Amino acid sequence: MMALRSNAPHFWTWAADNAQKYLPSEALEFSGLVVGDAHHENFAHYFFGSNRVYVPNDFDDAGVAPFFLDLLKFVGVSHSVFRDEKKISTELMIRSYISGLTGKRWGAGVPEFIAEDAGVSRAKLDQLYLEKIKKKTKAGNFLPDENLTLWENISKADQKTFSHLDQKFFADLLPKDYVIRHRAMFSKGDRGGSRGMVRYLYYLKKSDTEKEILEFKELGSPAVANYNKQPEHRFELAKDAVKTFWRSSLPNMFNITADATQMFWMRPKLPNFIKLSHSDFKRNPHHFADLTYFIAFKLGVWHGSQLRSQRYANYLESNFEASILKSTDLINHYLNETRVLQKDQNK
Amino acid sequence: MKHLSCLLIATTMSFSAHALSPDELQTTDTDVEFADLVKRLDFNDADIRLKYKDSGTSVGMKVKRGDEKIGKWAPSNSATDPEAQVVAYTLGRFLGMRDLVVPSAYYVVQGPALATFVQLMNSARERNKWRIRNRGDNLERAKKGQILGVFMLELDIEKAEVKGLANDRGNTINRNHPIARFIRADGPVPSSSSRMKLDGIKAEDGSIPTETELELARQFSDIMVLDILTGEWDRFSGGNVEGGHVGDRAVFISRDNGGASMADAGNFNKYSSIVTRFNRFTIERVQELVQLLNDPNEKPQLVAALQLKSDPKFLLARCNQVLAHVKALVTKYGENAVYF
Repeated sequence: MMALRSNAPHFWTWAADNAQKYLPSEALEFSGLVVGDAHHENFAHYFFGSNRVYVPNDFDDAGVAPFFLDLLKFVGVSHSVFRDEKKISTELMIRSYISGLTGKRWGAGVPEFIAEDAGVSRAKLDQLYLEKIKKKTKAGNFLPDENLTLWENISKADQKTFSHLDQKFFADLLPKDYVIRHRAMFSKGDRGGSRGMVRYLYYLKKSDTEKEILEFKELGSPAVANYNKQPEHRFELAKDAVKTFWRSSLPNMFNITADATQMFWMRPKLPNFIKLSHSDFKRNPHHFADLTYFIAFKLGVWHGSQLRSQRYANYLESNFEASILKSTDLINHYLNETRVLQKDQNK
Repeated sequence: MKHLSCLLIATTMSFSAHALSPDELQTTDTDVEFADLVKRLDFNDADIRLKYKDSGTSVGMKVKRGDEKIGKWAPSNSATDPEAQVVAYTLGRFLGMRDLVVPSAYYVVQGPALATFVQLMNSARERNKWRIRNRGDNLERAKKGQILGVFMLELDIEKAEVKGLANDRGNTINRNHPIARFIRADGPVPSSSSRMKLDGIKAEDGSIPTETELELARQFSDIMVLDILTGEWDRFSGGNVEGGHVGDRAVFISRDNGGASMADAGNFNKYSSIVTRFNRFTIERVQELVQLLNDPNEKPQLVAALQLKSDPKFLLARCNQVLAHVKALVTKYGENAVYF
């Protein structure tokens, strides 16, 4: 699972060479904005006004590609946890996806794994956020942390990058009356889905009850660029992706900013209620399945909000049985090849 | 308007490749009247009444002159492509299947009529996902001050969905339906004397219209060919396989042809397994169509007559697919099995 969680570029590169071998051209004809790296941890709830909405939490890999491959990428990730169709059914994933695509309602309730995240109130979230900030900071500074390089320990070159970020990007976005108290760089190395991309953290303070930790994450070329050429303007593409998947103006403290060469996704480091690990999934296959079908449904909703989706839904319904067979075939080949690759790398 | 079939002028068409003009498409009195109606049609006239079209997935308006229903107008919707709807009509006439299609013409709504459309959309309580989407798209389009759409003539014929021929859930044909079997080269040969009914079609007096198996199979095979050529993708999603009756005779009608596109690769693969038996005359017309599309002198006139706005290369490619399909089937099954 961990390997496939960070497999987005590999999947899209593989799909560019292989998808047409397994899928009819019609299945690849319906393109639009896709998540690009749909996996169980890449989604979360955010407040949009008073509504708590489940959306992608990351747009690193979002871009233009065939909708169906976006789903299959997720089917692959899900089957990397359980290959057994009895535990995770490709048919039910596609069925859930079509339900979302055609505007049906999700009637199965909030999946257990994300129930706490869904149910948190804004007041509680604010309280926990402040507590989190308190835990991470002291006397106006970030506290040392394994993955954090504090400003005073950052190399001159990185400090220069940071200053550039301050002047070029953050100056206009700094929330009113907030003061930058400290800076740090965060890197998880090779782990996780960000492929070791550095993130820039700011600790901001306005008053004792108004504090923020904002993260700037650089957005490079999306994984789907390994499948097909992306629109020229990366900034516009990212803004379109946010508009499509969030369907709302950006909530407070979120933003995208760019110049001709760099682009950053700004977000607050909110408390995380979704703790998903491979072992959690293995211990709770039913809960894992519930969440998987729910995400497949949501992918359908997001894809279905785009151009030609009625025709696309019509196509999938017309070819439902064949789509299951062909998807299963594609995913089996992909997982087998990935497994061989991993073994080779581990030798 | 009188019934379409009753108004068929002698359908002796001159299909001369050297003198193609719109007048030489298969033309009935209804087509002449329709062309005249469209020429004079102004939705902003005092006697025109516009009502919201609240069924189906496409938003649009029902159009009345005084108390008489004269037609429907629909802008681009996710399952209404005005161009495909218009070309299905002109192409149907070219292919000699005028009885099966519905007179349709481009029409731009603007001024007070557009304001009415906006008001109708804004006050409608939409629940269907596609209608909500389509409404949003068209409210956006309306901001430009005009919307191009398609005006479709109200048919005198009483029409209804032919039950059982579409597999709605699978969005394809119900392969076990007799008509579905008749239009396959490996299926039973339809009889020119045995009559059959179409489920869902009945006369106003409650009687059940019938038609020979052969005639109905030919009609539906023709519709399938038209669908391939117009890139239809929405025929079997529910409600779009329609029929009616002319006196005591059952007929198919290809009324809603807008879930299609003249600007892509189309859906030949889907249809190639649905239809493998053809009306010989229709296939000859497709051959003629290919010749004209390949002739640089004839092509512009043909494209204009068909009111085709998209690149004709897509139509040509689809025609070639049909002809190659037929050729392969004849090799496999023989002419007698492939042609009605």
